[in-house]
Amino acid sequence: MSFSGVKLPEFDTLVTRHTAAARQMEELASRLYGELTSAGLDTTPAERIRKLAAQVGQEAEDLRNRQRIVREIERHKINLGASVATGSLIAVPDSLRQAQGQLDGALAAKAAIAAGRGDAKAMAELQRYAGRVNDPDFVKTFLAKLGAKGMTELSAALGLQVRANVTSKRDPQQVKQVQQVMKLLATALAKGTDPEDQAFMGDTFLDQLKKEGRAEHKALEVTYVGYQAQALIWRASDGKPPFSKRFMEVVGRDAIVHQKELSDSRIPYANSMDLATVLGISDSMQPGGPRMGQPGEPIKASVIDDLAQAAQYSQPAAQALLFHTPKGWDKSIMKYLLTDRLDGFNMTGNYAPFAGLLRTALSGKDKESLKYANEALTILKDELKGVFELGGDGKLQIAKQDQLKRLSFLAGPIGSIMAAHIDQVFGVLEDGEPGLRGVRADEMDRLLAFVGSDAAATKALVEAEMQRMLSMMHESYRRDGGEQINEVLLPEARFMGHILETRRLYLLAQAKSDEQAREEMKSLINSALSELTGPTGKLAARFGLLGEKANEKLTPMAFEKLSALLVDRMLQEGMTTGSALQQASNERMMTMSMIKTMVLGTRIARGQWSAEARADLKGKSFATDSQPPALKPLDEIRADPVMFDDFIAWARWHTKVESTLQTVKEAMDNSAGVDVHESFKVETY
Amino acid sequence: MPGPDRELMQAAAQRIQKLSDDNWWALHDSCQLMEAEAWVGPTGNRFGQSVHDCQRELRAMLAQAVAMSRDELVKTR
Repeated sequence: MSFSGVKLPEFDTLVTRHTAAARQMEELASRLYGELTSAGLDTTPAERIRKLAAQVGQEAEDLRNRQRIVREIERHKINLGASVATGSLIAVPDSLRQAQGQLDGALAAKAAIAAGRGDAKAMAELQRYAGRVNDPDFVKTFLAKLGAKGMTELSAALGLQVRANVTSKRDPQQVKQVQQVMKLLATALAKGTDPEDQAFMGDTFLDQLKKEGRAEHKALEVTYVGYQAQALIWRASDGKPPFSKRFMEVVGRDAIVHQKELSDSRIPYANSMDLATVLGISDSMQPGGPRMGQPGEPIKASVIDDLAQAAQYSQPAAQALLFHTPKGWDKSIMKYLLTDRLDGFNMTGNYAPFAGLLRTALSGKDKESLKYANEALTILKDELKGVFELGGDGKLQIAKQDQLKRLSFLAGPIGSIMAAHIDQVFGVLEDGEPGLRGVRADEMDRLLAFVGSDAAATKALVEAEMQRMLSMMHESYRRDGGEQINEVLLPEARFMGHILETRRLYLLAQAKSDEQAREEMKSLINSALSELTGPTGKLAARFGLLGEKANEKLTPMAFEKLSALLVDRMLQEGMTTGSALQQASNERMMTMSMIKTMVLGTRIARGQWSAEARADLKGKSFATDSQPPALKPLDEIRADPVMFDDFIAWARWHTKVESTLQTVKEAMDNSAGVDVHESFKVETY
Repeated sequence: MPGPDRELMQAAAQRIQKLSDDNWWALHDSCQLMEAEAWVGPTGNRFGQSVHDCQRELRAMLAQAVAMSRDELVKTR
């Protein structure tokens, strides 16, 4: 690239002269115009000169802007671009915008370094640059001037300042400023290490981060490895923008490998805590993102917790970090974290980042997600061996409380991952060719009981299965008008039996009474249904129900939508007190009531009523007066609650739901009451 | 004896000539400084070109104004 810049003092003279020329030409244009007009001559030359004057004026303004930047560069003795030997030449980026970005980036880096040394004025000045992170020139210059070493040591220096503040001055303003700087560092670092971002610094910078991350640094009396300080930048990320796949491939993986090396070569978990935790100021280093750690307790965060925090925001990044086996290892990073390193998460109790990381990496529809979800489930079912056993009273008992406690933070993420792969989980229990390898049916029951220890995760599973049921009904009606509906309902009901009963057994194993367990199970069904229904419910989102009219043509798509629309409405009514659904005696009866509603909604959406049903329309509020009578448009029926109820009663009568569902009910009872109990070798109770 | 119209026109032509003389060099310094590489680089080079073009056009316009006034003077008898 050729040199771009200015020569002093020539450039300053140019600015002055060009500015004067603009004024002079403007004056000339106006006087010439007067002369030409009064002499009755063509005024074109004067008009043309006025235009030229305006152009020169604009140029002069640009020159003054550039001069302002040049002055700043001179004043702060900043060197932008390639260094130039001749003293009177100053390198200035070609475009003004670029020049401004680079200047600000360099000034911000200078202020950051001064702030790291404790300069309060520089710290205040640094706050001004928060809005500049969208300018790639700013970010690049900022990162380049700080360097990987500077980034690392600045984080440590700021941490020490916070500690000094917390122990003596107690200036909340300063803590806030530090948090904002950490946020700035996190955003800049995420951008500068993302090959897709214009601010990408190149692979050398990533390698330098690695080198500094592994190196020992010292600040005051504290010796630390670089990653312990870099971790403070990672945890400051709120995912906007997320750290990239490349960052996780290069720095993220290395940080984990390095942590393992330290743990293996020094003492277990040596240097595993981030610097803020080491300094006891972890709470103060937590910026706007989701709060880490246990509610009401001081935040403890390990380097790996912080890395997980940064990696959880993008699926490619999360997968790049977890789905990789480092050189010389016999297992993937995911497996390492779920086995050898598992206790590390319990040491900090800072579960949310790793839980989020697992969710992001393993919940996708892609092949890798499924493959590793399978691996995670296999690991976990092994870890769960012996946890649930037959107790002396013939009931399920938690034989290894400690082991369950150790694993318990995984119940949430594993539950939502199983919900994301509900078809494959179903396959293990109900299909000849399961979509998950190496997990037997009784092992799946153990996994379900484990997920059953987490209310939210169980709800996610129930919801996922409810949606699956509706889809299966749609398929059945599309295939043959629901002739073989029981063939799909029986396995679905059995599967739901597993999900519900494992949770119930878990609750009973927690010394809950039958009555308490029943109430919890019923409220589980209700809360799953309330997630599904309503304008913000999952059905509305999945089928695009908002603002939909029912009387569309019955194309296959519209059929499913219409069915979902009716089911949604009827289930919402089912949520009101006194409804059949609410009066059901237990969770299985409630589920049956829901299944009935789904079948009915699907049946109505299909239309094509029998001659008998059509004959029965005569004189009904929802039928037309014509001969023979026909159904009024569904929108009209739906708009009138009384008419709608009459219509549903008619439809229910002619669908004959009740009789077909008896065997479905028996299937669910059988799987819940017998199969699940057999998995655990416990009595039926 | 020249008529009053001619006198007026002559004065006008002289003033236009003076305007031209006074402003002929308005952009000269900018051009020279750019030739002396006061500012280099792609944008700087474009600016240098533009300043030279601008000077050329300014002079052309001044020359045209002077020429018109002279022609008019000749016509005014």
